[in-house]
Amino acid sequence: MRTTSYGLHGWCAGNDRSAASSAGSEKLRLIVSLGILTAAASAVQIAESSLPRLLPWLKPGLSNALVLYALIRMPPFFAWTLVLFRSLVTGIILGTLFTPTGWMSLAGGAAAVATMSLAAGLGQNRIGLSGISVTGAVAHNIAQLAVAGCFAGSFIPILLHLPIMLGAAVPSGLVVAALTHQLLRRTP
Amino acid sequence: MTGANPGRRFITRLDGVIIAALIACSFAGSLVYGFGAGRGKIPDRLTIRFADGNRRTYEIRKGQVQDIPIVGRCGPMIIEFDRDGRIRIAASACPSQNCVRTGWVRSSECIVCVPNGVIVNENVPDEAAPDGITR
Repeated sequence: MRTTSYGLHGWCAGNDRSAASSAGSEKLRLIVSLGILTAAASAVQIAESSLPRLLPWLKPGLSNALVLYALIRMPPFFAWTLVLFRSLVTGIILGTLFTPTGWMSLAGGAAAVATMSLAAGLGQNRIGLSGISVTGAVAHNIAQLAVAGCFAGSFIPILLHLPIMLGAAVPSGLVVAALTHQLLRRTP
Repeated sequence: MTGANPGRRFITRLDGVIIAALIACSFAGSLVYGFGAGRGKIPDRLTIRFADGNRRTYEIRKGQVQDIPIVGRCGPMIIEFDRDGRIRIAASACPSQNCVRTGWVRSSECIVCVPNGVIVNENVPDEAAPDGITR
């Protein structure tokens, strides 16, 4: 019987934990973890969409803390699946599925995961959670601008937006990194 | 600051370099394209670009309030131009309404409504930046 695994035991109820352990199935554990993280990430993203913002189009992207958590603690494919499911769930609930907003969300999430995976691969001593998160936020913003350019039919006015988006990536990336750090610290 | 994940630190020296480089790029870009650029200039024309590539140009009557009705991908929009030379999207059929919430911008800046596929004031001067991209 395994006693340690992908870090979400602390979040599960005792019965769920014992059932998963007795089944001895790593796959089951991963599916349960994916369900929990997808629900949490979707809930955070939906809650965030209704909060007041400094600028109408600017969100901190707090749900990316759960994606970064998955990237650090889970197998490599897990964070990709989480982003896909989060985009599907939030798209269905917010009514943005297959709309420009939905594609921007999916493209941003995918770009962030790809970049954060590469950054994390630099090594634990070289780059910390802050660096990974901030580079992910930058990639997220650039991908969203690119998709916005595709839908708007012109890239130049969109790309002029880049300095603001780069600047916004720093505080949002640091907040996400701080949340992830707490998640990693508080879960086994 | 490692907690239960002793291998991954919260911040490293490389992180600091990345963050400093991003802040510098953002600040430099904002200086070139953003803050203060185009202030006080009121253009003679307003160009609106649609997602299908069509453009329409409207004459701006300085010192007058102007409402410009257009139809985007989601439906009708009203672009308003005020006496002070500012523009805004006063009404839009897009679901998010972020373009409306962006509010007034200087006439040297542009607003992009992605759901409607509309770029208001596409021909921004070289030194001006878009004020908002709405999803």
